[in-house]
Amino acid sequence: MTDVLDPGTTAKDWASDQEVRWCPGCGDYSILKAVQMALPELGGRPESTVFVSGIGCAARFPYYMDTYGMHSIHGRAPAIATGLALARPDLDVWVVGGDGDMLSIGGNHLIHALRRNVNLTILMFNNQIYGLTKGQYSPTSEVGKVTKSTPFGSLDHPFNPVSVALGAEATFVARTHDMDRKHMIETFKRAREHRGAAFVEIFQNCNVFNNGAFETITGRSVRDEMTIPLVHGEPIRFGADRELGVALSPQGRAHIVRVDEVGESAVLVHDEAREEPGLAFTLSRLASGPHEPTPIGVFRAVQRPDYGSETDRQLAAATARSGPGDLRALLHSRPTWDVS
Amino acid sequence: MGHPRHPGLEHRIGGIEKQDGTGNISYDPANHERMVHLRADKVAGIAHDIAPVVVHGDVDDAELLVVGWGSTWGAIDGAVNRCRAQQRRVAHIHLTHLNPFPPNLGEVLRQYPKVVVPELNLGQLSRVLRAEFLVDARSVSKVQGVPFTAGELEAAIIKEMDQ
Repeated sequence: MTDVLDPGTTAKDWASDQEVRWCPGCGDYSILKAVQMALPELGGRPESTVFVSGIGCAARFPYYMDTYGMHSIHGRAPAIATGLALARPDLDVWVVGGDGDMLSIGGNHLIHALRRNVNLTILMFNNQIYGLTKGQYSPTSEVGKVTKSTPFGSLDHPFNPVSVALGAEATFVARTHDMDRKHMIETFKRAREHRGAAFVEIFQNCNVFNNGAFETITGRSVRDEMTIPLVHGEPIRFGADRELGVALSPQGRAHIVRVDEVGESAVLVHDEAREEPGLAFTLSRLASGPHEPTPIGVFRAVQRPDYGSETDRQLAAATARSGPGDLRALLHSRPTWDVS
Repeated sequence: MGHPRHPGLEHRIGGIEKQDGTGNISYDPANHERMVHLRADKVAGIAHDIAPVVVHGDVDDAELLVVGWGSTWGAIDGAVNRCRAQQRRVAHIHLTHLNPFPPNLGEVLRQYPKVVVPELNLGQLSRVLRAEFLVDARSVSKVQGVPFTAGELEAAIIKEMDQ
């Protein structure tokens, strides 16, 4: 190859020629567009990028990206992507899935990819419903929700995905929503640039089976009062005139205050780099559902050695000690018997 | 097939039906049927790459063939040896491939007047052999959570031969 200046890419270079098959009006379209717009800014190459998904509406995502991709096994995308990230550290590996795929069927795979800090960018589309199977309650559906599988209302206490990720001590945890492209692009870029497992929850509207689930917080007319932007190093304030803020009670609970009543100095300053995840967890508990002011942005971004670097290091040490391995010799090193 | 880092060959793999040739998602009914046949042929073609089954025992003149698979080998081998020591003409094949079967299996089965299939289940393999090859394969079944003994199979073989 000759030495030429990388001409860079545009959003179009990342879109495949396949017809996108989501319901008209689905929030997935705007997430797809935001990812295709974020990638050129990150300077990556389509041929060095892989999208791995599980099963569900969101999991069709890889087909629409002109990258390498795998529409894999229900819930198992984080496991498959872990293998890929370890075997091919030269690739940019993304995982895409929904709340059912990642928190129910693949709940285990997700938390283990996070705790191991595998170098992955994980996008979880949360629409609080199983859409592909036409509307059953999901692990993020609210208590009382009436669906085809909960005719008398759901009794299940839902997962808060950000709390789950923080509980698994993920090193990067963020939340964004499908109504704010700029915020999505910025969040995706931050997640991609993070070394280790980056988890992004995206509030996504399923306009057919759970329409308006997040309308009370992401709708344009209410967004200023109902979303709380988290900005590193800045006081956590929101509202049309930034008249509201988040403060900590003496018991350590986050609660919403009027800034003019408590004074600017009482407002919590957001520190995403805090080693200890407790405060980020507290912030994730601020809203019990999408009917209360809800923090969006980066909850946590800390550095910890990523799993691939650790396995490489261990492998190098073992090779230096014992020489290069021979899998074939190992497999034939003990008595085996043939059925003949 | 392109691998990651190869520009221009980016593609996606997955479980949704694909168009023959391009690999793009396809909902065309005729294409689906063609792809189902294509995959079945692919699996069947594996038979060319696996070893033909080898007959042990009285290869040329056995009156009864024992067909086994998996962990029953030891008990079958013991039983066949005991029968042969009593001048019974018995042969044994042991399968390592069940789908597809080895390419010469049908030919081997039809070579012997009687076929017995000991299995630690309700006789699944015996039924597949009957369906695939139209031979009168007789099932010897045991589902007790313990293996066959050579003596049990010896008795089963002799009973079948004397019928």
